[in-house]
Amino acid sequence: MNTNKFAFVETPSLSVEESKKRLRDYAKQRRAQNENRDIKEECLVKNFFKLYAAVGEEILQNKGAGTRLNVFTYLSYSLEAPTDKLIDGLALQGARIYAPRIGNGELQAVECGEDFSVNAYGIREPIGNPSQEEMDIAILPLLAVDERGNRLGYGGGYYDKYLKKHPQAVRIGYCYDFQIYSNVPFQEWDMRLDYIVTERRILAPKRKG
Amino acid sequence: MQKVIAKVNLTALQNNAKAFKDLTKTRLFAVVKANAYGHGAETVTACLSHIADGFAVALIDEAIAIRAAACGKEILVFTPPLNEEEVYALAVNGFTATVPDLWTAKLIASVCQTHRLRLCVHLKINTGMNRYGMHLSMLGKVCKFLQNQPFIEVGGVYSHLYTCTSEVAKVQRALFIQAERIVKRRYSNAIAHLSATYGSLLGTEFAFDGVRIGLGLYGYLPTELAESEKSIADSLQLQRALTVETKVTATRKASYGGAGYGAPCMDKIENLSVLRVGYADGFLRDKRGGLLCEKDKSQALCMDACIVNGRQKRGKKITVLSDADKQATAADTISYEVLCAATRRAEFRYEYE
Repeated sequence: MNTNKFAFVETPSLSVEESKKRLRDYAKQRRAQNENRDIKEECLVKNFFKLYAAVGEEILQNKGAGTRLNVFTYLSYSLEAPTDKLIDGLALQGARIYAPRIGNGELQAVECGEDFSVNAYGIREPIGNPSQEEMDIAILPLLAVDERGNRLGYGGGYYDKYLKKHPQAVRIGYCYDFQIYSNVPFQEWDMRLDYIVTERRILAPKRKG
Repeated sequence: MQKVIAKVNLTALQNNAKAFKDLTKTRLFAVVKANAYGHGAETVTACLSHIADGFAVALIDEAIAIRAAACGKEILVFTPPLNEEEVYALAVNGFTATVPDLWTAKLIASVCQTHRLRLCVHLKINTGMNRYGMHLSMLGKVCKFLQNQPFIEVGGVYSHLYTCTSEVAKVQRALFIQAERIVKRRYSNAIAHLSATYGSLLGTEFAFDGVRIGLGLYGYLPTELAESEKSIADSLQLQRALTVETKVTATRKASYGGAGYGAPCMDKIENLSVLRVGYADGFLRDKRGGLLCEKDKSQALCMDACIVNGRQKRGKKITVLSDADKQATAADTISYEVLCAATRRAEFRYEYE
């Protein structure tokens, strides 16, 4: 007979992978209850361009006059924070816009044109040849993030691998405020975010320089 | 706009909060459960985020609703978690949970261990209310158990006064002091809080390390106060924050039938007006005082409309709630119930005055 009343507390912890899965389930459930999306989108875009004005200027100064910013952004899918108005705004500000496409099992940056194809997951992808340009800013989708900048995606690891190859890009998480949680499990290959933009605030977990 | 308009004076809320802070000279937990007693939790939280030291709600969903508005201040959830899912939601959002017994302590410890999530908890002591909370004799055991849990942090200990009489409150306080000693011996940073609005009027010895102000924040007080407590309450100069307005939607001269469902047939020509407010808006049906608490006016409160005597101009704005105490007396209930219900279907207008 087990006489230790508290023995069950010594149950082993979940692996990081399992905790990530649990948080993904919870985050998806919360995301499905999201309300007032159009108002939030407006605020999100407004907040983004506040940050963009500061970050973009700094990069442009380093790049030299007469150049354009290369911005890599996801094309929103399903309940993700929508990026359509964001892309319109970026184009107006003169940025060159690239979006992800999955090819050869990895993420490629392709310049956005007028037309899109839809991949096996139902996500829009731009048509054209992968670009070899260096990205200045990367706008990333996410399911959950914490205030230290640990990002939780869908679990494919595409963005992490891409960012590893392009470490110079400023990584911006673009999400709703309720997607910020207290603690997001992370593994050594996960890339932390430099900034998080929500409809309510702009967070800078790890300032560069 | 067909909706009832709920006007909330945010300056009044801020002044009330400051008054209680000055009176008790300790931490202030603003209680914003039940949609901030019908005042709109998110906005109330946002306007108090620089005054209150923390917020308290009853449910996890309420905590989620005010999380961003609380600007990183502690959010205490009164209702203890029942299952894995609720503990997970508390921990992953960074809320403070209530531990009222060993069973909950074990549940929380096992879930937090499994997910490697930190969770701050406040221990709830039963000093007489017999709602949630552990008996004093269990406290040592729960503390001992939690001390061996790496993911649990005991941030406080609290209890609740169950009457508005100072004699009973003194007994409860004596019990609570023992609990405070036991907890602080193990957790020197833990804060103890016993008093809600009533307790804060009993003097600083009831304030401990914090007070949880709910009703007082919105400008109301419990009704049965002793003289000495009343004078302290008067010195606070509380302002009522909420008024509810509606409009006259129709007006007529009637010569037959009754005014509303089942009303007695009228024997003379009467002027009647219809207000766009009903019990579906959260107003209470009562025979004695009526909606506007004026005894000489016969009224009929329907689901979405209310028929009153007298001729009013169509479209005229009528205040239907400015003093919840008066309506509570008329409907034989307490101001808490009137406030919680009165903005159920309202559109909120927030203003600083």
